[in-house]
Amino acid sequence: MHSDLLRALSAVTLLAGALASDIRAQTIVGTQSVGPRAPAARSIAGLTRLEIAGRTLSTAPNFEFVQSFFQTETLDGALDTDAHPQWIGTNVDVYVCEHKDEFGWAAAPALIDVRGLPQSISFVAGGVPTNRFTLDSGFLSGDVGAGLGRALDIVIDFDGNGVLSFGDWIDGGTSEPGLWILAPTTLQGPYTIVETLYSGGSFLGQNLYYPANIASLGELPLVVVSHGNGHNYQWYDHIGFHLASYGYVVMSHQNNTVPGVVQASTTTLTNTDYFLGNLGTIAGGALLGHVDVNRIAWMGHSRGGEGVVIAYDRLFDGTYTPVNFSIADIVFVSSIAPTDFQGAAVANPHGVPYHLWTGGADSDVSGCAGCNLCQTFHLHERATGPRSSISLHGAGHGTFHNSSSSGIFAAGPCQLTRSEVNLLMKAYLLPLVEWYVKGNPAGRECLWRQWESFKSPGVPSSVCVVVDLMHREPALDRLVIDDFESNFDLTLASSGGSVGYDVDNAAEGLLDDPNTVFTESASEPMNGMTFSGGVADATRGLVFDWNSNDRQIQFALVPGLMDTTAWKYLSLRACQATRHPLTTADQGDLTFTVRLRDALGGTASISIGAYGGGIEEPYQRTGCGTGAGWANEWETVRIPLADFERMSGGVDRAQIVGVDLLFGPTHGSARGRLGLDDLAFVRD
Amino acid sequence: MNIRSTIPFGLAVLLLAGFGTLALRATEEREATPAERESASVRRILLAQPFVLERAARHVWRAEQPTYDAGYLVVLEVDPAYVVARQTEEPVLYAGAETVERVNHGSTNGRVVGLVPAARGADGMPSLDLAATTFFFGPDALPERVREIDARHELQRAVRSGTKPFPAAEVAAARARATDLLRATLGGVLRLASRDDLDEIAALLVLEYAPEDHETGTGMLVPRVR
Repeated sequence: MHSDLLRALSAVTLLAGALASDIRAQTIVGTQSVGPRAPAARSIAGLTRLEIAGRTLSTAPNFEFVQSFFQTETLDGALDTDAHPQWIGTNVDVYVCEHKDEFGWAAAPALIDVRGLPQSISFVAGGVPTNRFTLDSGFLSGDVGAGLGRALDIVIDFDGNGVLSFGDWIDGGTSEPGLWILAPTTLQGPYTIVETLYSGGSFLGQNLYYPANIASLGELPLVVVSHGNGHNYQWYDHIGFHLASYGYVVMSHQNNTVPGVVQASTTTLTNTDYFLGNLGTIAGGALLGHVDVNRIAWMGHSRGGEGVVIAYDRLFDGTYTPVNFSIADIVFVSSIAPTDFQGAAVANPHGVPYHLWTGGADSDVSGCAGCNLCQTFHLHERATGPRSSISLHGAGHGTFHNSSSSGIFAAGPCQLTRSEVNLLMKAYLLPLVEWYVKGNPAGRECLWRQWESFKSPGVPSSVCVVVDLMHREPALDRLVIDDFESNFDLTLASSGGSVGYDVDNAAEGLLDDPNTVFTESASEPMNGMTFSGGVADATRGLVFDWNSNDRQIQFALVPGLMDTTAWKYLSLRACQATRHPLTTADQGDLTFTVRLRDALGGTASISIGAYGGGIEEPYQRTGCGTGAGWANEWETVRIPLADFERMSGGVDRAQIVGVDLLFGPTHGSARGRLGLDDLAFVRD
Repeated sequence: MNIRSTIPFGLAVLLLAGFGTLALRATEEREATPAERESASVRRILLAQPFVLERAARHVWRAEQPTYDAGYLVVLEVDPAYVVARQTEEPVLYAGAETVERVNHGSTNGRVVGLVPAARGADGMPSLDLAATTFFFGPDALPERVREIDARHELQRAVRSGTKPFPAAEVAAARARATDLLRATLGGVLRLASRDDLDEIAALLVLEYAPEDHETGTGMLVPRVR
C-alpha cells in the first residue's frame, strides 16, 4: 500500500517536475537570446542519503559499511529497518548504477543497473542482521583504465518508477560515490611505458619512466625516487613501471649517500631541480608541459629515506632554495626503511603528508633497541600532518628495491622474497599515491582497513605475509580523546576528561625502549617501543596488561567531545608488547571490546575483532636480547560510530559520555599486554 | 757480555732504550710483510692518476667541505669487509689526513676506486706525495661529519698502530699503470674542466677493476643531457 501511494506521489512529482521543466525551458528560451545559457543546476529533492554498501560480518555488528571493494570481492548491501520500521513488509528494487553527482542525477535520473537488471528485495523486521543482501558476487569490474576505482551509487527505488526521484534512497549521488570497485592494484596500468637513462652531470644520473602517450595526457604528477647506500638508481623498476603505467612520471636518481644523509638530501633537491629545469631536453623534450610541478612526491630508501625528509626540512627551514619548484609543490614524502642519523631537528617531515615502510626482518636498518638511528618510526612520529605507515613481517632491507645483485639483508623467520615484497609494494603504493598525490579517495581504505580482510587480489598469500597499517588524518579530521601527549597523570586524558583504570601495570611514558635490547623486564614498561628517539621525540603512550580477568579503561568525555554525530569512526592505535609473558603466552592476534556510553545510560559494545583480525603478534624474530619478538608493531583500529547505534540497545551518538576499552575473557583475548595511543574520533 | 754487570744501571737503561729506539725505527722503515699486507684494511695501491681541474670542486666527504682543484684518482685493494655497503655508519677511508671519496663500494673483490683531493702545487700538479701518504680505514662514521681535526687524529692513530704508506715502487707502478690505461697526456696528468668530467674516468676504472660493481660504472656513463 505504501509503495502504491508513493508511486502515485511520484507520478505527480514527475508531472510537476515536467511542468517545471517546461516552464524553465521556456524561461531558458526566453533568456537565450540575450546571452549564454546557464546550466540548469538543480538536484533531486526528497532523497534519503545513507550508506548501503558494505560487507557481511560473522559477528555483531553483523555488517560493515565500507566504500572500497576489490574486484572479485562480494558486494553486499544492508538496510536498517530498526531505524526505518515503516518499510518493513515492502518490496523494492535495488539498483547499482554508475556514479553521478547531484547535478548529474538531476540531469539524467534514469536508473540503469550496471549488472543488467535491478534486484528485488524485501524489508523485514530485525534491522541490519536480517536485511542484508548480496548485490554482486565479485563480477563487477573495477577497470577504469589509468585511474583507480570505478565509482558506483546504489539506489533503492521505492516507487519503482525506474528513475531516481522523490522518496528514493541513495548511497552516493553526491561528490562522492556510494562505493568504488578497485581493479587489482598489483596489476600494471594501461599505459605503455617509456624508460630512459641520462645524466645531467655528476650525481645527476636519472632513470625516467613515463607513459608513451604522455603528449595526450596533460600534466602528470612527478614521483622522485632517492635510493639508499650501496643501492643504485636503476633498482626501482617496480615503482617506476607501475606508477607510470597509471599516469605518473617517475624519476629515480643517482643519490650521493656514501658521505651521509645530508649529502643524500642535497642530491634529492638538485635532481628534482635539474629535472624540472631541463624538461625541454630530457627525453627529447617529450615531457615539456606534461609534468605537474605542483604535485611532486619524494620517495627515498634507507639513507635516501632519511634524505628526502631532510630535503623537506631544508626547504622548510629555508636553508635550501630551489630554482624550479617550491616547498608547496612537495605534496607527499615516503620513506622506505629510513635511517635517523640527524634526529628531530633535521630529519623532520613537519606537516607534509608522510608515509613510512618498515621491514620486520630488516638486518640493516634493523629497528633494534640498541641502534637509535636504525629505528624507522622516529621519522613517522615526527610528522605533524596526515601520515600512514605499513610494516611487513619478514621483509628484509634489500627487498624493497628490485635488484638481485644486492643482498636482501634479512634476519628472522618466514622471510619474504624480493618478488613478494615488490608485489606487496605495488599493491599498496598505488592507492597510497592516488590518495596523497592525486586526492583520489577510492583506495583510501587500503591505508587502514585490516589487511586480513581487505587487500588486492594478486598479493602474495603465504602465511608469512603479515601487514600492519597505521593511518592518521589531518588534525582537522581528528577529535582527540587521549593521545597521551599532555596531562601525564594516568587518571587524566589529554582532552581533559577523567580516566578510570583497573587494568594491571598501567604506565604512561615516552614510547622509547630505554635500553639496548628487547629482553623483557618487569622494570621496563616501554620495552620494545621504538617510536621515540629520546626526549626530542615527544611521542608518548600507555601500556598495561590483564591476565585472565576482565579489566577496563574508561575515558570520560568532556562536553566538547560528546556529540559524535559529525565524526565517522572511533580510532585508536595499539600494539602487543613484544616478549612480555602475557604476549608470548598466546600467539596470535589480540582482541578487545570497545564500549560507548551515552548520557541516558545506554551502552553499545563492539569487538575490534568483528571486522577481521586484531592486534598482531609481534614478528617472531630473535636477537637484540633474549626471547622472540621484534620491535612493537602498532596498527590503527577503526570502528564506525554508526555501528554502535545499531547494536542492541544502541547509544545516542549526540550524547556520548564515555568510551570504555574492555579486556579479558569476556571481551576478547583472555590475557595480554598492550600499548595504546591516539584514541580519537575521526572522519575521512 | 752482560751489559748490566759492566755499565751503571741507569746508563744501561738508556742504552737499551737507544737500542730499542733504533730497533723500532728499523721496524718502521721496513716494508710490510705479505701477512701484514693481507691483514691491513688497505692492502695495495693498484692505480694512481693525478688530475687537475679548471673549475674547483667541493669535497663533500668532509664536514668543512673544502674546495679542491687537484688530486688523484686511485684504485685500491682493500679488505672487502671494510666496504660492505650498509645504511648505518661505515668505516671511513682516509688518505693521510683527508677523507677519500669512494666511487664504488667494492665489497665483492675489495677493489675501490677513490678520489683523493689535494692542493695544487706551484708546478700545477697535485701536491700530494702518494708514497708518503698513509691510506687506512678509520672508525665507522659518516664522512660528511668528519672534521679536519678528526681526520688528523685518525691519521695519528693509524700511524701509531703501525700503518705505513705504500712503498714508493708500488706507487710508481700504480702511476705507470694509470698512464698505460688512461693514455694521459702532458706528463701523465689529467687536465679536466670540472669535477663532472672525472666521473667518466672513474666509471671506466670501476668497470676495469671492480666489474662486480658494473651497475655503478655504467650508471655513471649514461648519456649526458646538456
